[in-house]
Amino acid sequence: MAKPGIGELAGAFAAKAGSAGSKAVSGASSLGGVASSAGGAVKGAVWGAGAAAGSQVVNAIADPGFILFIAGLVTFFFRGFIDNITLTILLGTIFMFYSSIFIFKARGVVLTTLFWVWYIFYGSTLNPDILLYAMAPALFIGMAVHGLYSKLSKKGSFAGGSSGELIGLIPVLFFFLDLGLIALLQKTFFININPLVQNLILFTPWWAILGIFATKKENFLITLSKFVAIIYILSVLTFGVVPDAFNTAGSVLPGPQQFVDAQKQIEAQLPKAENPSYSNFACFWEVGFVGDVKGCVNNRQKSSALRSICTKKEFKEGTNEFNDCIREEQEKQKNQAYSVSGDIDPNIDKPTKATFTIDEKSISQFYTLGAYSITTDLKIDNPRNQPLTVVVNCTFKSKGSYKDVKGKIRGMDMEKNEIKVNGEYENSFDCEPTVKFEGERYDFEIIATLKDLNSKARLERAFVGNKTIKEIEELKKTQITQKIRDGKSKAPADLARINFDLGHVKEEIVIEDSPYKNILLRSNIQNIGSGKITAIKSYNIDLEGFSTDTDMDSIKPNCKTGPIENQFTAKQLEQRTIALPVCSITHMPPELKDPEEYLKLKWVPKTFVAEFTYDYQLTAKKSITIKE
Amino acid sequence: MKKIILILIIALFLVGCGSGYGQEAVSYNFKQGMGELKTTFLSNAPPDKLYPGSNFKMILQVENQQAYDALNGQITLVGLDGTYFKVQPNFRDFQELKGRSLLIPGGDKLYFEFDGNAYELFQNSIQYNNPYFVEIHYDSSLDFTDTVCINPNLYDTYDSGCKKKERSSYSGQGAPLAVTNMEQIVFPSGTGANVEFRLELANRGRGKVGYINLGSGKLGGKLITCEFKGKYLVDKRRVELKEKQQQTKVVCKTFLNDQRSYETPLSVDFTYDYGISEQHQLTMIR
Repeated sequence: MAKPGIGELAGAFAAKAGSAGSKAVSGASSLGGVASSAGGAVKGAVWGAGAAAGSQVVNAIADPGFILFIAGLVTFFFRGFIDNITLTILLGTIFMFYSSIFIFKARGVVLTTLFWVWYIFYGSTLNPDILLYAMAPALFIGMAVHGLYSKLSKKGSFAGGSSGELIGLIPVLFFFLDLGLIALLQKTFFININPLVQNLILFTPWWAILGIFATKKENFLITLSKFVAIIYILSVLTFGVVPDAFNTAGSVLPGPQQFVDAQKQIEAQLPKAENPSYSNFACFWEVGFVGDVKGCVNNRQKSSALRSICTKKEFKEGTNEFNDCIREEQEKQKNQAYSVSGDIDPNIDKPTKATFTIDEKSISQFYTLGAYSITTDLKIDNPRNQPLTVVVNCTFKSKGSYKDVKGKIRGMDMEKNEIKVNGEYENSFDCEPTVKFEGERYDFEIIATLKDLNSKARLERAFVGNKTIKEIEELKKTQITQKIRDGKSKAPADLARINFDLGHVKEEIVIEDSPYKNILLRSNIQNIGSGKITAIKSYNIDLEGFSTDTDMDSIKPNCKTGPIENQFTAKQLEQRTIALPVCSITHMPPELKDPEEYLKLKWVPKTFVAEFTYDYQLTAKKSITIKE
Repeated sequence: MKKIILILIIALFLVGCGSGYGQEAVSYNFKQGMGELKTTFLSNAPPDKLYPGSNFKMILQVENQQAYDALNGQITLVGLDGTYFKVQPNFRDFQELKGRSLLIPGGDKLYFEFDGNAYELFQNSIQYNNPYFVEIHYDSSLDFTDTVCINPNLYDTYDSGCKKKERSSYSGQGAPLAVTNMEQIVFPSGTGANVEFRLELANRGRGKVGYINLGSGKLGGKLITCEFKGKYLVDKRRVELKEKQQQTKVVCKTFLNDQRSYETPLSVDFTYDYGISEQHQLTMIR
């Protein structure tokens, strides 16, 4: 039996929709009738389908869940353009109260309101005075009022009404999810980023999901939307795998800025790959249901990530530079050193960080000789009290044919512009033009270079000596994995970090003494912050007692210490990941080679420490227009 | 008042007549159930939280709750990271730790001291947790004894003597290694009958049994032939148990000359080595 063609199926579908439409709206029905009496059955069906769709849209729009679905989708697609914390919170607040009032019929509105007041106004304080004497009685009264209302209006029991307040937690949860709860959890609990979490962070329109699944009305459009939502979520998730998480927790609720920052930071660290849902659909189309969909999706994701990296470097797609960039990135991914990754150390809660922000209120359109300046705030979190040198320079770059105007930092030596810092530091820098502006439009640029920053990373490995595979597996299962949870190096969430790996296979925690297995040391320096690494002054991986194949080589850079002169070009320093030399271990200390013999232990754990010193440049830019 | 005195006298009389602890101990069979070495660190040795640059002591109490002596014991601290902690010595040994008996009903105890130093935390870490393991390896023994009913007369089912039990189960013999089940099979052989005792040995403890050596088997004071059956045999009288196969079988057999049923003691003894690994943690805080 021949299968029906797409055209036939579409016709049948349209006819069915037409009949549904004629039932729903009489006007539509009469229109369909006129069309049909005019002799065109197909025409009638099309009219009917159109009318039906129209009526269903009208019908669906009356559903508060569907409104939230549409609004959630719109804000989700424009999220990339909303770079304002106030607007983000405002939208979150609107959606939270909307869902609480219209979707959950105000059943948990007291709890939602209390949460909002506590979170926004009291800054999520854990002050017992506020919690006990303001929030708790208000919640209690809210629950009691709700219970009484239910009882008196005969809409339910007192207990049912009062406990219904707990529904208010659902909008609160979605408020956090939308702000970036997953990203923050990831940052706080140091969950390794894997594709599932990445996809959840980047591609889930939380309010839209809540809206569509909270719709009360039933019609084809709503059912279709639900179906599409399920397919969308499945196609986003099927690309990922189950996350690995590990311990350590904080207890104080973070502020909205932290949520948004965490979300942005995670997004910034990830190359922007194609929406996996789109990849899935495109691959089904390309290779069909029986083809290698997984492989196709992976390829699309990889190539879109590479394109995103090169686009970020401001290369235009299709140009030779762009193609070279893609080739370079592909080569990098094959390089052993580039592929090493590290994690944030869960035990270090205060990393070295810096923010450099132009105070927009200080920007004036009107230039007055001697009175014009732009203020930029520099804040350095320096919890390890590193002795740093900060150099600040500013310029006004002309956007037209006029000359650039050099800036001068008020109160600083024009030649040096240097400040010595060895603790926490916060200061505002006033930049004034050294000469009068000739043009009108300039780009104000201020650069702070933090010199001699230092960051360390640690790596844990278990040395087992010469054992059988079974013995090693047994040791790993019963003891080693209790001590060493994963194979990545750990470093504080500083502006940059050194990632390193030592072992037979990348991220393998066990190192054996086997003549058939080599031990490689691979490392790189990764720029985590928003600025640039301008110099790597030293790097050192402490492998006391180990020898490597680069130790005797006086020409090649050493994998343990460096750099030698001109080891890093300016172009290399611009990369987010800077590869360090890879080498092979040729000798290791006897107690690690054979712990049973030397230490009377079946295995021995060892923590290696790597450190590097670098200069880091933070740039703040703003376009300005000058009027006399 | 008279009533109170009378009650007191009766109470004293009843207490005096009752069985005291001493008698209970005399009749108590230590070789039952499961017992193994129990380890505990004394309070604050080591402290729950250590500060960088501090010295500390670890005092380990090892208590033998078996009904047998623990011999040639070795205690090792495994998994301590030398970057953060130095513990010396990281292994200790003992010759003998007496098991539970009438003289030491609670089992013997030994204390082992380890001296430790906490070094520095990595960068400005809040804390560092170092899970580690206390491993104890020792040799011990196991005696299995039971009174069995032997009925060699296969045709006389109405023998007026004892009743043969084909299968018996046991909770243990006061050690981690235990005879858990025994089957008795009697079958004709020439003019008499053969009896076969099939013993199932299993590890009921938290640790791991390594090698088991079969000692002697006796039925009514007379030596009988016993041997291991199954996998991982080193020879007929020695077996090495694997991690996932902590059980084995022993078959003892002998020829029966008697014709009537009778009760007689069956005993089989073993020696084995045993290892326990317990997880602990050292925590250094800022």
